[in-house]
Amino acid sequence: MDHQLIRQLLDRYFEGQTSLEEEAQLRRAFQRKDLPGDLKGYRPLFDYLEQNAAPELGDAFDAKLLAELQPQEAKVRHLSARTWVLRIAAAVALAIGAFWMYEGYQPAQHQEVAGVDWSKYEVEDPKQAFAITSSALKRASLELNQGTDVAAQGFERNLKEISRFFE
Amino acid sequence: MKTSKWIFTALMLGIVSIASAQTSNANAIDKYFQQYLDDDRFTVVYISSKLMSMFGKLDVESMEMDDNETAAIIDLASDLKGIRILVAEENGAGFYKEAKQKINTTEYEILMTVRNADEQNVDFLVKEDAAGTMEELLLLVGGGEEFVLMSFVGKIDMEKISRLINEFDDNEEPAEQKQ
Repeated sequence: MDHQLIRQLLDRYFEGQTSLEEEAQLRRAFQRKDLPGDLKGYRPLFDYLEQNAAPELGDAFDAKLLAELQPQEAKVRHLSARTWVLRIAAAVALAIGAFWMYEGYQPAQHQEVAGVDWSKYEVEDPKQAFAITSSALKRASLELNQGTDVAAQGFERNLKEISRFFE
Repeated sequence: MKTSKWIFTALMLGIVSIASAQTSNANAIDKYFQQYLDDDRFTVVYISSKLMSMFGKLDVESMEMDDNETAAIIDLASDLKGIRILVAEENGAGFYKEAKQKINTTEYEILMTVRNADEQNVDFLVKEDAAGTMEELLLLVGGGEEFVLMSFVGKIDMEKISRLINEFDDNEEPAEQKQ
């Protein structure tokens, strides 16, 4: 490789434009002894790169890596066992929860089937509603007050009105 | 690990609260007296909270009622979410006995029981929430030819009830005269 080409490649190398192949060419070129003075200065850099281009991992490294991995692997297995226990616990809890909810919703569904549609018993005239409410509240408060006799008479009158309303 | 515990706890709390909310929604009549609703011997009345909220706009003057009494009634009604009334004009004692057996006394606490001279039984039952606020007041009257079941759902203030009692006591005399 002539020196001119090396300089061109070097320029492109520092601009980060060289391909992997061109970089390999550069590393080989700098191993030559007959380099001009201005290029010699770059030799240590490319020597370093050539030596460390593909560092080989020895058996010692493998052993070290495996030694590092071994306890970790054991730890992971330990964790996943606990996770399974938790998962089972969560599944059981969910099943219990679902059962409760099912139990809770049963009456509600039952009501819908039986059709407690209060709107059909609803009083629509506010005046009528007020009359009924007031007699109901009076009845309740008077019963509370144990003044039952008077209340019964009063409510019976109102009761007849209520019945008339629904006839 | 800690996160999953928190999620688990939150989930369980959610389920429990949903379950408890579900049970507190229904009233005693929905729960125990559904079959009476389709029974011809019973008169059923329902007054919704929407209707009760309209009481304030009513022309109460034309109803020949005492202003204070009306105000006390409107005040009480404003706290209620609904009134449900079941009335039968026969088999009073029988229905009363039946009703007493149906009501779950762990949920409904007996406020008072009166047995008056007319052989009439009067029961007040209350359902309270966890905080002790009254959620439902249930009045049960049975005896002779009369059976009455009234369910007042909502926050019932005893102070307001006693005020209504006082108003009614004040007006007892003129009411008698009107009759």
